[in-house]
This record gives sequence, structure tokens and C-alpha cells, in this order.
Amino acid sequence: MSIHQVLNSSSSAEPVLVFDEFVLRADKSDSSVVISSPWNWWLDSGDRLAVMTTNSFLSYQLMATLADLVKPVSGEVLKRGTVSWPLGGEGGLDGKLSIDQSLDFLSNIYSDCFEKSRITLQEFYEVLQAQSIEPSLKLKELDKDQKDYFYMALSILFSFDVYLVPKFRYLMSRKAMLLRTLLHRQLEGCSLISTGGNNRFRREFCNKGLVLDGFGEVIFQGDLEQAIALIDQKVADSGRVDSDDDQFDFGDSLKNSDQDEPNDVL
Amino acid sequence: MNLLKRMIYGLRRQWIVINSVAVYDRNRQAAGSSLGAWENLIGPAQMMAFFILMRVGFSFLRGNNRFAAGGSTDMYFNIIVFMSTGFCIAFLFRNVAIKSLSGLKLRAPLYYSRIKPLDILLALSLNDMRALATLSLAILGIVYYFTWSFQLDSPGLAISVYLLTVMMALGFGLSVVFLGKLNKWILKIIKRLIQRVIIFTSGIFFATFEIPAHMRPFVTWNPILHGVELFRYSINNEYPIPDISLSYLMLCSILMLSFSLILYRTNESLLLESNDD
Repeated sequence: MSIHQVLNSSSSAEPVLVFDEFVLRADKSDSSVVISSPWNWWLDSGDRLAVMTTNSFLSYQLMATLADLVKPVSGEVLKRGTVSWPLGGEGGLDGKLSIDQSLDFLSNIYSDCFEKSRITLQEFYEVLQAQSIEPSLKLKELDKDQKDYFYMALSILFSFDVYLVPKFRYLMSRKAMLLRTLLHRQLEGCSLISTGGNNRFRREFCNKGLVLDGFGEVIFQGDLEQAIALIDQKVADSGRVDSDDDQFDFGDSLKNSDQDEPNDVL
Repeated sequence: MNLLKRMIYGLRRQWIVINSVAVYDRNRQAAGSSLGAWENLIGPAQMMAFFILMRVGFSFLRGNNRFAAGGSTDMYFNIIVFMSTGFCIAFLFRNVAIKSLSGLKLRAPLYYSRIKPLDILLALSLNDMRALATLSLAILGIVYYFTWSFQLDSPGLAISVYLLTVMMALGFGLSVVFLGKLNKWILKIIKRLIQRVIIFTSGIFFATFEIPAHMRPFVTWNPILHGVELFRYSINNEYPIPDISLSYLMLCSILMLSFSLILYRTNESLLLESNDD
């Protein structure tokens, strides 16, 4: 099926994401370097796709454009459903807000995703309680582990049609076992796109693979195991070790500033 | 019908986003201040008190020991009403528009794709509008209580002028928010320049009819002055407003907002994350 047939399709099994003549930057140091050929592929409902590449900047660009944090060089992604923010990301909220205030804020913004969630608020608070996170605590009062845990739990609480998973180091840790169970429950019938190099995560949460070369050319799309074998081979050939840790943080430049000048009148 | 439903749904969702961001900002400001949620009201109230004291001080120095508006404005307004009407309109513009000159200070919510830079600007404006509207109503209420002379001749005009000022401020704010990436010293100079122009030509301290006719063009170019004077006129229809026109204020507001929305539409991505550079 061509991309235009997909775009005009009115069948019930519609793709949730359609990349139409989509072009991204491929090199951090040179903005003129873009992917070698435009992307024209789509993600069907229920697909859990592991995008694999040795170019970590490309992975970042893909996630950032899907999260609407960065504009693509050209083309567009048509979204037919709700797309999550990057799972577990620490952006968006303010350290001065309490857990309750943060939850109120997000449950208003994403009220539709909150209402259809398969996780109840009671369960959410119980999960937080497991890490001694009280609803009245301010975000800045949480320690590093509690923060990672809270932001991951908060992302999982909402039911999206497509989940973006750029980071999974914490999710695959022993401490996040409970969160993984909840994510499995929330993912039933939903789609997922992940980037990064953790095979354990890919095997547990993904069912398809997409391998890109360093310049964004799609070299394989399909079976997950074959895709993993291919990317492992490419990593071995290039002699680069793909780290689980992400090199780019999302929303890093999106910080609230308190430096106002309210009294600077005259 | 479907289109109408979609529009209503879209507007409702937009309102929820704006209101949520406004509450988010109020909560974080309240957490960072010893005054808590009152900070938004007490800040402008302090400034207004300072302005009123300045005006009373000048009247006193001129030999007029009555606590009145001083000069011929005395005939139409109590000094508190005169100053607070000027302050609430001019500072509404100042707060909404000038803040944007430093770029978006509240940026974190942009992390969530449903929140756009425009929503944040609208939410911050909503907070300023609420604070200053509350302050004006409270002051008018207190003055009317003590003088027992309630007067609001044209409430429709008062509301229209207030909303037109908000529109104009939003338009100005949206147009200058893109300058936030300029050199900080250039920004500081522009900011101070605009602050002074607003303070001294917006009619906070004076009435247009007090200025000699040949001098008026030096201040009547400023649409905020038209807002201030029309707001005063809406309270007391006997208040003279030479060279002041509602159509000029409307024209400025509509043009400013339209221009800024086009500018925003074509440059929105500049306000998003720029980690990739």
C-alpha cells in the first residue's frame, strides 16, 4: 500500500502515525546534513516498534519531532490518536509544584487520556507510596530515585494511543518492576515507538523492528529478532558501543525562569 | 453541524489548557513567595499605592493640601479612582506586553505537546488580567463604600475598553516575544524605553484635557492613553476626552493582534526546544 492510499484510507485498522515525506536532521554539528531519503512509512495500531540506529542524534530528533518539541526539516507526521510525551521525561513540571498540583495540571490537560486509563488513581498513589512519595511533597523535595520513579509512574498513568519511549534504563531496573507491570497493562492494544539500545526492553515491550543506517536510510523493517541481529552486527562492524544511556535530554532548554523584574517600573 | 461541534470542542479544550497553565503559574508563584497566592494582588497594589502617593505628594507640593486628584481632574474624580483607573489599564498593558520582551519565562509546560507557546502567553495574560481586574473592582468598591457615591455610567464601554486593551497587549506581547533571543543589553534598553513611554504618556498621572491642545499630539499617538481615558469616561460621562477616540483604540488593537497572530503562526517553532542547535 502506498503512503497516499494509507492517508486516504478509511478502514477501521488505520495507522496511528504516518510519516509523509518526512525529513530530519542527521548530524548535530551540521544543520545541513539531513537523512538521505525522506521517510514514507507508518505505524499501525497495536504495533510496538523498536527504532534502531547507530546515530543517537537521529534517535533524539525522531523522538523530539514526535513529541512536537522540534520541527522536522520537511514533511510531516500525521497523528491519528493521542501521542504521549517522552516517557519518564523530567520536563514539563516545576520543582515548586507538589505531586498533587502536578497531577491536577496534567489530568486537566490530558483529561481524555486520564479518563480512559486502565490504572486507577488509587493504584497510582499506592505505587508512589511504595517509594515513600507522598502527594503533598514538592517535586524539588524528591531525591533522584524518587524523581525517576515519579516521572515514569506519571507517564504510565495516562492512556495514550502511541507511547514514546526514549529512555528505559530506569524502567528496566529492579526498582521499576511494578511500573513495568502497569505499563504492560496500559499498553494493551496501544502502540509504542522506542529508540535506544537495550535488547531486554525491546524483547519485553516491542514486536517489530526498524533499522536505520547512520543517515536515516531504512535498511530493514519487520521482525524484531532479525532487526536486533542486524543492528548488533552493524554496531560490531562500526566498533561503536551503543549505550543504554541517552545522550540527549528532552526539554533541556524548556526551563522555567524566575528572574522577573516586577519592580522595575521607572 | 460537525464543524460547529469541532469548533466548540476545540475552543473548550483550548480554554482548559489555558486555565490549567494559569493555575500552574499561580501555584508556582504562590510556592515561591511568602505572600502565597496573594502575591499577584499585593505586588500591583503596592505599586499603585506608590503612584498615588507620588501624585498626592506633587499636589501637596503645589500647595494643594486636599487629598484630591489635583488640578482640574478634581471636578470629575476622586484621586484614588483617577489613579487606579489609569494604573489598571496602563499596567495591564505593561504586565502582559512587556514581560514578553524577555521571551517566554514559563517554558517548561511546552514539554507537553498539547501546550503551545500561545497558550502560555494567554495563560499569563489571564492571570494579570484577573489580578488587575480584581484590584480595580476592589478599589472602586472601597471608594464607593467610603464616599457613598456609586458611579459607573457606561459599564459596556468599560468592559469593551478593558478587553480591547487586553487584545492590544496580547498582540504587542506576541510580536515582541520573538525578540527574547536578542542580546540582553539591547533588550534591557528596549524594555526600559517602553516602560518609560508607557508610564509617562499613558495618562496615569494626567488627563488629556489638562494638556494644551497643541501639545496633545505628543501623547495621543499612544493607544494606551485612549484606553485609560475612555475607561475613565465610562465611569463618569461628564469627563472630557478631547482627541480621544474609541475607533483608534479598536483599530490599534485589531491591527496589532492580527499582525501578531500571523507572525506567531509563521514563527512558532522558534519558541520551542532548540536542543538540536
